Order: sequence, then C-alpha cells, then structure tokens
Amino acid sequence: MTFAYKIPECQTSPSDFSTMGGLSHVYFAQTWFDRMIAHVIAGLPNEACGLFAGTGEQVETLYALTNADPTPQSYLVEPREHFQAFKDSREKGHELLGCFHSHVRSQAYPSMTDVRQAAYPDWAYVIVSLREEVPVVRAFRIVDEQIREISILVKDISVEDTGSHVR
Amino acid sequence: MAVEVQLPAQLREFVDGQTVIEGTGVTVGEVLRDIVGRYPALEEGLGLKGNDIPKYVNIYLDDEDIRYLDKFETSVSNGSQVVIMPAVAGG
Repeated sequence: MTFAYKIPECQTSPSDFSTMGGLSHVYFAQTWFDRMIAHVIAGLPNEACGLFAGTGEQVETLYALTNADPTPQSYLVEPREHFQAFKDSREKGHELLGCFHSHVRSQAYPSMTDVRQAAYPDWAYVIVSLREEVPVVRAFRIVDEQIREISILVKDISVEDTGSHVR
Repeated sequence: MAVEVQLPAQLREFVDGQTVIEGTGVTVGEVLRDIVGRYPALEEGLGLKGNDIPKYVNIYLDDEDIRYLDKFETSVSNGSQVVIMPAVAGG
C-alpha cells in the first residue's frame, strides 16, 4: 500500500558537510518508505520508531521496531530488537545507516531530546511528522549537537520486505 | 575469564581508538570494571554510575541484553562476547 507524503526540499548545501563527512543523502526504495509510514501511522497516538540498513547511502532493509518508551513525546528502540537488527544487517553484509521515528504533534525537525540523545553521528535520523493530514518526512545528521538536513530520495521500485522478522 | 568487549565508534576515543578490548572477570560487571580500570575515561563515556545499567546504553552478552539476564551480575564464560551499543532514543 502506498501512502501520500511530502518530502520538503532539503535546505542544506552539500558544502555544509565538508567538515562533517559521512552521509549526505539517503535513498529508499518505495517499499521501505511505505513500510516506514505505515508503521508510524499504526503507532498512533504514540511515537513509533525503527532502523534501516544498507550500503553507502542506499537503504536495503528497513526494520519497523517496537517503541519501548511509548508516549506521544518519546521513543526508545526496544534493545533486543535493536541488536537483532544489527546482527541481521551484518549477516546481509550491510551496516545500520540510520533510524526513523515519528513526531505526532510537532514538525519534522529534531527536538531537543532528539539532539541530546543522538548517539550515532554517522547515521541519518529520519523524522516523520504526523501533525498534518499528509505525513511530512525529512532526514538529518546530528553531530556534536549540530543539526544538518540531508536529502531523501525515494526510488519507485519494490523490493522484498525482509526486515520485520527481527521482532 | 577472558571476554571480548566490542565498543561503538563514539567510545573509541576513550580506549586509544580500539574497537575491541579484552577484559577479564567472572561477571559482566567485573569485566567492565577491569576495562574501566585501564581506561578510566570510559566510565564517564559509558555513563556508568553505581550498579544500574544506564537507560540509554545497551549491553549484550552473547546476543542477550543483560537487562533480561542478571544485569551486571550476569556470569560470563571464556570466549564470551560483550557488545556495547548506545540506545536509539529521542522524542
């Protein structure tokens, strides 16, 4: 099932990454993007979360996981599922590239809590805002409490959905 | 017991850039204390205080989250593997 969504134009210049290194774009197959949006909608009224893995900037698997701190203002990827996703990605020859979570009442931008708890400077932090009727999706790097938006590209292809079995 | 401890990238600055350290002890807590004894800055990096596992740090022994075992008192075996990962959390 394909969902309507908006991806605002990324406002970050590639030169903004000159001192950060690492990921400046992230590419999703439509299958993974739809799965992510379905998961965060299913998580309402609380935030929902998950991880994704791949190679380079290409997402190859998305893990829709349990929020172990389920409120409308918080998420915590369930630790055992986090580890299973880590292992599964390694077995596939991939690396965890980032995480996603929803904001149910606020914009698609990292909150103060998101920034303080961002422990993976190389990751893409994807945020899906459900504040409006149509979900808004943006992605960021968070390095030393500095936020930089990165581009999201959704490729109109379907892939086999193999990520959810880690739950 | 000799145990391999894998550390995430953001903690490697506390351990001279190493990704894997060997620690000794009969429990996970002893192994971590052994490592912290050699790399004291790691204690702050991990957020270790007292006997509680920090909420935003996940510690796995041979693929199991030690929160669901005996926490820091979980027994280790020769060749066990401890993996430390910051939690993925926010709001």
